[in-house]
Amino acid sequence: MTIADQQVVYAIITIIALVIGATPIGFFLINRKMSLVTDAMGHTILPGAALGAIIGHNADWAILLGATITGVVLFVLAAKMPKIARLGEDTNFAIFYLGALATGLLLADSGRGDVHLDDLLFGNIFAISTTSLLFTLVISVIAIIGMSIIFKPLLLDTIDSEYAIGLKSAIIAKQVFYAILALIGVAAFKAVGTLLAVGIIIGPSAFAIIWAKSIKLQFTVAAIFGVICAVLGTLIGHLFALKASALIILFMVISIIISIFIKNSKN
Amino acid sequence: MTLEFINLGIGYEQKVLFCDLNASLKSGESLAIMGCNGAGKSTLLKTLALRKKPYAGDILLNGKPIKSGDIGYLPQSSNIISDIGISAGEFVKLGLNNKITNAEFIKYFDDYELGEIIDTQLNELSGGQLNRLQMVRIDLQNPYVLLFDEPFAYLDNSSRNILIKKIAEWKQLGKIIIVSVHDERLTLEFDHFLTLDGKNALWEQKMKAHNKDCALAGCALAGC
Repeated sequence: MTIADQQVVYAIITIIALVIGATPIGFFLINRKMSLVTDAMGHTILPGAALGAIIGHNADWAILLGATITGVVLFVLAAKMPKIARLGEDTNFAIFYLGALATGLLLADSGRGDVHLDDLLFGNIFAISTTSLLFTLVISVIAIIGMSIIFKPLLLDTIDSEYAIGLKSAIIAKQVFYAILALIGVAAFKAVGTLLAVGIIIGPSAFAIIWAKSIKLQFTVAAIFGVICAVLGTLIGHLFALKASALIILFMVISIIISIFIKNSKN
Repeated sequence: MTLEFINLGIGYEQKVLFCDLNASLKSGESLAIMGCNGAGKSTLLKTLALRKKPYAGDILLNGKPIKSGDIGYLPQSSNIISDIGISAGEFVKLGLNNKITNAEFIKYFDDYELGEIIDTQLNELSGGQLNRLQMVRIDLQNPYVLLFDEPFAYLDNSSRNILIKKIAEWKQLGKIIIVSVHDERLTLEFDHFLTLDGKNALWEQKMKAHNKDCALAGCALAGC
């Protein structure tokens, strides 16, 4: 196996693990109307990743460790911020994201270490190290197990928030959800970057919600659709030397837009 | 079984709705909470349902702090997201922690005239069915204390009648029932009354004779 082959294999395993791990999260993000909030919060991992790159001399484990710590801590903090009237939850998130983005930029641009802002923002799926691959696999397994544990209370909170408000199980479920979301964000950023990570998370579920009725079917459709887009994008990107992350997201987005038009014309 | 309010105060930092309420309810007793809009009926029920911390004091069930498993709560308004892709039966099961048999499950749905729609998608139900579905959920939880926030204000006639019948059943079973009502005519059957005015809470054991007559007359007018 040549190095190029190995990179493609690593890329495909990583992206499949990501899509499957992220699908249940995407379902909840969409139904909780949090797609854009997550997009913003994805950037909270930047300062940690940049700091990790500087301290650890660009070693993958250092970048991932830094990203994980800042991602999870900031995400859970933002979620726990007291809601001050007239400053809604979305603004709370925006404030954290802006602070993180500014800090990340400051660190990455400080001239210390060799930080590629491009790779942090847009990812590089053909430069996945064994460390990153293992990290992604572990996070995806954690995400699936974690989501299956909190599924019931989180779904109750999503469907009937008035009833679930203040329920201990729902509060814990939400915090675990944010932590898992941050972890998947970290896992996704090496492959597709912080800017496109949310696409991997919500794209498959957005497609599935259009076509499938029951939740079970939505999950199945999302996973299959996500894997198809991911593998296609990665292979075509490799063959034609194009940015794979951009292709994956574009396949998803185009399919979703076409689906919306088909569905709309049927009604 | 006794539900006790010890020096209970409710409200927010900026607005305390009442404080130092000391009262208790025994098995099979019911309480009607009355008061104008903004007097704190919903806040009190939210507090009792552990959805909100009391401003001061304690709520005890048999001498111990009440737990969420002891409580069944029907909020005043619900904005249930119904188009998420689950059936009525699955929705009810989301709020249940205790195990029950399938036959029992179906029986409860039948009790609320919902037997036909167990497998129907949530977004295909009517508003009245959705309300009764929430009652099934509470009933199946088999709690010691049942809390209803202005149920008579928004329930349709058939749901209302089912609830009235159920309240009588629950009292027989020794449960404690607390209901907020905006209309005195609906408080006829209650054992205790708590009137809120936004500053004080007035606890009365039994309705005064005068009020009772009014309530009877009102009830006759309302045709129940």
